[in-house]
Amino acid sequence: MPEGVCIIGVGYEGFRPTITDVSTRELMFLAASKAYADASVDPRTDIDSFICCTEDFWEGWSITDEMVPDQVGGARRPVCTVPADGIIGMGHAVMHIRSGVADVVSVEAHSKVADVLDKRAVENLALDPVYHRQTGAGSDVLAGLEMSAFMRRSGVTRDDVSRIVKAEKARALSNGRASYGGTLELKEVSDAEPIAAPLLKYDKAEFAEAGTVVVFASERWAKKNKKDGVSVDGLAWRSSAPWFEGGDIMRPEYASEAFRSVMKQAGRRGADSFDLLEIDDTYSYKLLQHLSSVGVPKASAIKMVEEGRVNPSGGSLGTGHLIEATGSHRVLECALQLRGRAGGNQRGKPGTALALSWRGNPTATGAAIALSVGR
Amino acid sequence: MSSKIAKYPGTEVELDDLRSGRFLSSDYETLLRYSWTSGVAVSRFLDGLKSGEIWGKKCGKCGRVLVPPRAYCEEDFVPTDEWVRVRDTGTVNTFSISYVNNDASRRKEPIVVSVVDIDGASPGMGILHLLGEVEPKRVEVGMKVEAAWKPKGKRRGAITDIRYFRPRG
Ligand SMILES: [Zn+2]
Repeated sequence: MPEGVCIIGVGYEGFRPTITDVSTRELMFLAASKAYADASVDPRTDIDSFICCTEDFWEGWSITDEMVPDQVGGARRPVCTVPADGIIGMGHAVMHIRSGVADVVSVEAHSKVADVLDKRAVENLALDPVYHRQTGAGSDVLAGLEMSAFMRRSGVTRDDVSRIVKAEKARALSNGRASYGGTLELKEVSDAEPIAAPLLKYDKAEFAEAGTVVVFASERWAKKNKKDGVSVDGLAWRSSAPWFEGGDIMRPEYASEAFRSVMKQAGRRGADSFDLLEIDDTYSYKLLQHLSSVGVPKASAIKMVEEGRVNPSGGSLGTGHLIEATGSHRVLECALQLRGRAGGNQRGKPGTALALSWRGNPTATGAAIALSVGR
Repeated sequence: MSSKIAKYPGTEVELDDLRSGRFLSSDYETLLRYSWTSGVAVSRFLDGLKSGEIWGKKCGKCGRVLVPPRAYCEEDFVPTDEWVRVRDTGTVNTFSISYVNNDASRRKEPIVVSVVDIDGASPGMGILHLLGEVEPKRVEVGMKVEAAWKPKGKRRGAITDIRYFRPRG
């Protein structure tokens, strides 16, 4: 039986389209300070390992690891960066704890993406240099292609995806962390300007900026130090084959396999066994595709989104896309919900939650985490 | 080549072979542009430079004066509250006489790069900058220096508002 791991504190700062008053480092410091206060830990003595999820190209700084320690409390302590989505960084935290390397681990992820003047240039560098980059088709075009295939295969209609957008934007209005809430008519969504048809303007999450820190501890440590935690019942990440042209359109492996592994670890049966789900919706159709990957058919999926059981936060469409902090944001929303502290969009007293992330185009990498309280 | 190797095996490739497409390759060029938010600490520091002043921040816990200023003390993990104006003079902590530019090209005339410990800041708080108005061979560790500022109208809130540090009086 592997050692239990739990979340003992969360902290965040920002959640705006552009943060102009603090630097990246200051943003990280503010989020970390709040998380450590929430967990009642002193990072200088209580935290054994610090992880930061970041990608050098988004920072404009090579070997970003070197500039991380001071602002997360990790000066002259074990610090590493994981160039991946926040939930994958959390996977490293779980490994540090289970391997006995650490009892308490801090996982930071942030987006200061407005500092990147030409985001397309960074996105294009992620495309295959021999085959794709030369065509001039960017990551939104890849989404358009996939959306087209997914709609044809699944029977999802324009109206269906517009309902997703409408519901998430509306939900975001009651979430203080959401930058892109709004009241939209279905027609407005369906008639919006095309990006790469069938992908239209509102089908894509806009960028936002935020800092997030989640503190993990072994359950043994948490018990000994009398901290209430949110239990991590399962965590996994997977990549599908790296060829964009292939793969399962209805149930991409990175999502379905990460989910399957998490369910096995958590000893749970289906997505239906969770009180709430925060599922990747970088693009509107992606939410339906990811729900399909975890076994939720179209009809129930749309209903669950409209009821607010899926993405009560308003998702990325409502909150904004936070690059590598996107998965961390989903975990943050789940943890706040499970502790009854989600604010305006709190959903009763949920006991279990699932977060699922995707690293965005052109990747086929995703991660999932199952959380619970009061076991 | 070396005393043991007169010729490498294989086929030599000249630049023209690549240019003419004799060997296949994929080329790509890009331009990455960033505009980093300076934030609370750096903004005030840069603003100070514009006025010909060097500012630091003091940690209320350990009492260190951090230059350049930081919004937090990394040792105590607390916000730094108090702004402290330090002197624009200091001491050469270390220096290097550089004959290479940062693109690795050679320089005819060397530049003298130094870490200057600023007067009024805590030990180990220095600024990496150039030394000027001094013969490279006369520079030594421990030398007292002062900032040579750009004229007021030419300062724009950048570390280069200090042209260099030069020997004091
Ligand atoms: Zn201090």
